[in-house]
Amino acid sequence: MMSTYLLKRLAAAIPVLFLITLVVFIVVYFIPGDPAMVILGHDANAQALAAVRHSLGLDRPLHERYLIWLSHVLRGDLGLSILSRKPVLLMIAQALPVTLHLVLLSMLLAVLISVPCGTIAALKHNTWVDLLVSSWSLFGLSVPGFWLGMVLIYIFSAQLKWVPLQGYISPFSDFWGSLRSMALPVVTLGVFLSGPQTRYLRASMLDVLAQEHVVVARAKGLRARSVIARHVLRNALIPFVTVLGIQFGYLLGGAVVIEEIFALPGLGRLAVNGIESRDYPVVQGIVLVVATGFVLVNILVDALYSVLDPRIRLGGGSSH
Amino acid sequence: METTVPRELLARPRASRLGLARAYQAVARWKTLSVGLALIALFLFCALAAGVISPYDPDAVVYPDALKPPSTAHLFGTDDHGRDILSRVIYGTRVSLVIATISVAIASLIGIPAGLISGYSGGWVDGIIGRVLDALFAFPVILMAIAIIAIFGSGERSAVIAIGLIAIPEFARVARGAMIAEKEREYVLAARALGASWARIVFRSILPNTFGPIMVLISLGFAFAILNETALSFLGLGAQPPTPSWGADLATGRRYLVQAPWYSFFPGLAIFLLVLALNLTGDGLRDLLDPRGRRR
Repeated sequence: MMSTYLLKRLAAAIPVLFLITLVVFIVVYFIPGDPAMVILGHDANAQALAAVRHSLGLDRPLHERYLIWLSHVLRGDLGLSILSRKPVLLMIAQALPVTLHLVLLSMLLAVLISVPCGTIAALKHNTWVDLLVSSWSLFGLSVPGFWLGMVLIYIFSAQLKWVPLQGYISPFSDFWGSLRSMALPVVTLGVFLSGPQTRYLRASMLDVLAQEHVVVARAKGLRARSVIARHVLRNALIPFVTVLGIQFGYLLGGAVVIEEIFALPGLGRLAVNGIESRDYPVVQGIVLVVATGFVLVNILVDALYSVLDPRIRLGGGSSH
Repeated sequence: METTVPRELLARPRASRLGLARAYQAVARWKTLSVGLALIALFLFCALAAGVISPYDPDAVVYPDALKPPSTAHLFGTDDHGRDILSRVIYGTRVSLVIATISVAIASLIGIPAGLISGYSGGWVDGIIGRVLDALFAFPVILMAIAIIAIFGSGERSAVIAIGLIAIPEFARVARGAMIAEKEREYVLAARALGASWARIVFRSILPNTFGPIMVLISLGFAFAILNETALSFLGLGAQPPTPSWGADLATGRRYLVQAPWYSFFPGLAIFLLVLALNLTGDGLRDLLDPRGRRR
């Protein structure tokens, strides 16, 4: 059942993925600058430029270039970087772990903040605790990540000297050093993510708390803890998981500013550098990988629904 | 559910005082909205009266005063060129508000009609627009904005276009949802039965009734636009120096973070307060327009 559902969703995602390749190709095509000149420099002669353009396929019509590019992409070949001549796939494979490291730790921190906060706020609805939690989530929603990051760098790196100023250390080379170097970026992004998470979980719990089965469970005299764990939290987690999926997919390429402030060599920074240096195969590759990742994560999130709530029949006209 | 009738509603104020009394009740009841609107009004005032209220010329370079900490002469301190940071923050309001306003207008003018038409038509039109929206949603907005700016070149005009374009899918999605909720209502069926054209039904009958969610969307869209505009300027892709811009000033201030933390602190605080004001307004409007969710 689950595998049939996943296959159906993947099939339905094909036109979307196709559109994504088209958008990526067109956007990158319109970025001005001549890749041949990037390779040969500004003083290259016309003949040499024409030869490089021909070797890169830049002298072909647009639709041909798209089809050639697409056929390479389908075979897992994202081309070579114009500047470094390295395979784009390799460059992405080197940057992706950094971004995943940042995003996964930040999301973990955000969940550790938002689940207890959202739950308590809903249970203590319209009290000072609720007000405090709502204010916190509003803070998370409104604070610019780059500013919060700089304030944290000033306090914890420059003044207290608890953590290094910038840079990335892999957890496989130095675990504790890595934890210290990632502390500030993770806190910055975690606070930012916890805002919407707390808000969604609180609203979703309030909805579930008002539902009949919860009222009945309470009226039957079931212990409050059991009602919350079995009836409320479980149901409230369904929309919450959607938020997590969207945030995760978005952050694969959207953590650009945080990566920039903390000098983390992740996907976002690689993309910005690619755009600045007109290295269009790198930009195309990253945007394509990130967008495809977003679509796939959303399909997985949908599949998770059935695990959290068996009443939802996958692919069978369910209630969600 | 609330069952008690508020005392104010039982009292019958005189007709002449009714308007004022209602306004007072509304302000007292909708604290969130009031605080948000008051803060927005303050920023609007700063933008409009920047020339009058700024203590100094934001571009006046006075090198002997460079990187001076906050004092009575310079409340927010000075930057690396000796320019008054308070004056630059006040003038920076203009840049952020202008870019946000135009980009929200772009997103509204394209996204809302697309969403309304998609939701109303259903069938293949909705299918195509829905698929395009799905595809556009898959791109991280900031990455897409950077790519769009790469096409048009760095600067305020490119930032406006990029921020407007990346917000279109969200505007279309909300408008489509609002349309789907409205289109089976009786007044729409009646208009259809009377033979009204689809354009008349969509834009004259339904659009005014989707005003609530769209107003909330516009308010939150502004917050989103301000955050993106300042992020792009921070990355050096939006407003360019020496234009007073919160994001660009914050980015330059970053170089002096250790020796002059005030340089980046105050522009960042301004961004935070304006986004907070817009979020408060969005929340307040949602409460006001959706009484069912008011206690949420």
